[in-house]
Amino acid sequence: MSLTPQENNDLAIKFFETAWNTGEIMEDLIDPQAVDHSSVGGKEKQEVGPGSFKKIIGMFRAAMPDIKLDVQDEIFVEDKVVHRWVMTGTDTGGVMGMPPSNKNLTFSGTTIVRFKDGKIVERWANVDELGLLQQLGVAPPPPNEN
Amino acid sequence: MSATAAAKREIIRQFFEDIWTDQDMDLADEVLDPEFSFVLPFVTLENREAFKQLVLHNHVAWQDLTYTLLDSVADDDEKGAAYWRSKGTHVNTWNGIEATGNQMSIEGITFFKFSNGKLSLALVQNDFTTLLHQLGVSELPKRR
Repeated sequence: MSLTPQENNDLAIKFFETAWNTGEIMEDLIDPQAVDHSSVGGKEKQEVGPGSFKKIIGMFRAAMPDIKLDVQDEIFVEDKVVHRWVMTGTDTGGVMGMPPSNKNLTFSGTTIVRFKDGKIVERWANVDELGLLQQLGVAPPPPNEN
Repeated sequence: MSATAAAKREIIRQFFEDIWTDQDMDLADEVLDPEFSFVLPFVTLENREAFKQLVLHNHVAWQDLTYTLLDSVADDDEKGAAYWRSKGTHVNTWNGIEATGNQMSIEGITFFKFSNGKLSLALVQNDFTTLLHQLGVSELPKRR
């Protein structure tokens, strides 16, 4: 049965806060055929099912075991939920294959999920990867748009 | 009074297809608040005129620059969001990077706020590191 947009948002908050802050992936909230369109770290597109979530969340939690998700703004309408978020954590495990910097890192992103019958069926995410790399000192300084 | 969700989604479509792609500056004046802020993680443009300059500037740097709206949402209050794809060919200096002739294709998500039916804020997240890779910027770590 379809849920209301508010109910979808409540589930999205629960799913993402649990995943990022504890490492537990609530598989009952992801459709086995869920599509992950995000390309963080240059990963292959359109992976199916919960495996993609597990991989990305496992990768970041291995790098930053104290990582914390802070949802700053949200939109929920019809079957979609949008979250604008900030994550913070201490890089004790090494981000994206790099050696640990032991720095406190902060990065922002936006995630859109589509729900069907109380489960996530699609996810799009975009992350300030450049800002993250800059904090690690491995990317050029911020570009000047002029 | 705030615009309907449908009206806001139409403005979001115009933002990408008519303003970003087709450089319709009259429409920009119509649908963007004068204090429209365009915010990337690394730079903020404080008003509509600065944003219009960015659009024109980027069309000089990128030939056939297009923004395709892939999906959008808007609520009945003051918020909207869009998932989009941008393409273009790097034909002039951009961000200090001399023309490479390379093609770029990146995706992004923009979170919008509206005020009195006009766009007042765009918070942009895009595949900026992908774009730098496509231009051959070598300082970045290799992708696995």
